[in-house]
Amino acid sequence: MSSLSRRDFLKLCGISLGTSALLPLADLVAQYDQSALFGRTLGKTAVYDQAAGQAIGQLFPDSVVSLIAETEGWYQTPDGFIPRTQIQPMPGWNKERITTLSTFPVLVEVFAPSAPVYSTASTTAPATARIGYGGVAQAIDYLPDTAGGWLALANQSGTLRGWSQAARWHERSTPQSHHIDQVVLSRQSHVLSAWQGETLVASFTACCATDIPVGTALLNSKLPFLWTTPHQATPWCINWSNGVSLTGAYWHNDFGSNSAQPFKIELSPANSRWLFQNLERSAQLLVQ
Amino acid sequence: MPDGTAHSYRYEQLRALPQRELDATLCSTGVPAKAQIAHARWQGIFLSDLLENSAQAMFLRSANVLSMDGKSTEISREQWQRALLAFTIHGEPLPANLGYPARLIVPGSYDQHSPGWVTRIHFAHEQPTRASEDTPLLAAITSHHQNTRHNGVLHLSGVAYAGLADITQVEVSIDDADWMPIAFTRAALGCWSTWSAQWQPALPGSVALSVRATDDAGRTSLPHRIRIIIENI
Repeated sequence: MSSLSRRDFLKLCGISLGTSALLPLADLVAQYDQSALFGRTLGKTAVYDQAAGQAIGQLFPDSVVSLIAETEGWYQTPDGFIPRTQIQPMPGWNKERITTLSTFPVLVEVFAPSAPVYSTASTTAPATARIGYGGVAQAIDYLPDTAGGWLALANQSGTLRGWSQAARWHERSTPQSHHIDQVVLSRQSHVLSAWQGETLVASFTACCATDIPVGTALLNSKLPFLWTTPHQATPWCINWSNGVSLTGAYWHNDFGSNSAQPFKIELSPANSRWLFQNLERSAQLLVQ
Repeated sequence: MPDGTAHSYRYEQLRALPQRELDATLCSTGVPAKAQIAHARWQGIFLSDLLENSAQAMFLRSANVLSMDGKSTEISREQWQRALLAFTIHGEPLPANLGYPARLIVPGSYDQHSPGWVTRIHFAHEQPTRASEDTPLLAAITSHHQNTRHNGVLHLSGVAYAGLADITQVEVSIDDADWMPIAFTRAALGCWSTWSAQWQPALPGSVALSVRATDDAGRTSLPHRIRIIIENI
């Protein structure tokens, strides 16, 4: 088994540096502490003694593991090997809340491995949703308690959807750093590239549906999040005039494969966030 | 006895009989928040041994156990056939609060069928008034209590009990994520199983922990759910 360099590894994780000529994308990575890369288990997860080897243990869902290297669809961790599809990389994971919330409503992002949403401000209440690392919601109120308090989360129209432990969310705003006016999707390679004029700024590995029509579409709308089901808030939704929806996905790490959902392009939360923030209102989507 | 005969024993006489031993769990209810559960090694005599020389024994269908406090507990033939009239616990005489001088231990039944302070047992030909016996099923976290404050790796442990059924799976859920099967010790029937798990919290804050058990009849217990506050990781 060959070890990969950190740059190779980041590329495989979908937070690619692209080429060294694509310096702006380094900004994306530079937002994060690169001394270590962590991931969270997406469900109950077996740990193997080697890639495709014997199971030697298991981890609870949302366990945070240090990712040492990746090879052929497996992550190497201090405890053993875990299939890549079972781990969501957590770029920027630093255990520290970046900001404190002061005003409401405010857009907040999950920086814990996950944030359950309860029907009332209590862990004994029924959990109605579970939002993973990088997920987004709108907080409309705060309720203090002895363990960090609770945030009231709302849908797009401000209607209460439930309560979540405040210590798992933070407010993070980063200024627009680029003016992306074209996004190009290669259906064959599952690569989505972001262009500013004639300059290729970034490229990402995407998970995309096979039915996405070839051609050009205009940016229709952007929503920082959308409760697509009662149990799931989809982050960074970018909707195009051809019906295609480009979103973040914290519930899988299957980027580079086909999506079962029609007209859907998915990126990792970090990549979709960057694209969302840097996309011009006049941007086009070109599907090849 | 139904024919009007009675056998009377003094405490010393019963203690002089060959004493048998029974490991059994007593469980008050299957509702985790209200449950009391304990496990012990009991010593005494099996009711079936007392009845083995009785010609009527094979026709007896139910029994009423009378306690000093006036309570009457009905048990079925199946229950008394496995019941021990216990005088000691872990080799020591029963304390008053556990039913001195004698407690009937019916393994595999809720503890309401294991009365203490026993003075009389009336056997009858009639079937018991209850159609069937409730079978216990309980899983509980015993290592931590509600709102425990904790630092570092969480070493969780607890018990699971299914009466005379076999526990086939114990699962833990953290923060309402998917249930995950965890290791447990397979115990003898009528005894609790113990389980343990280890979890490294990723962040400080409150965490919901739940455990549930499944038995070989396919039943799944109510989850026992507590909140723990992680102060430092």
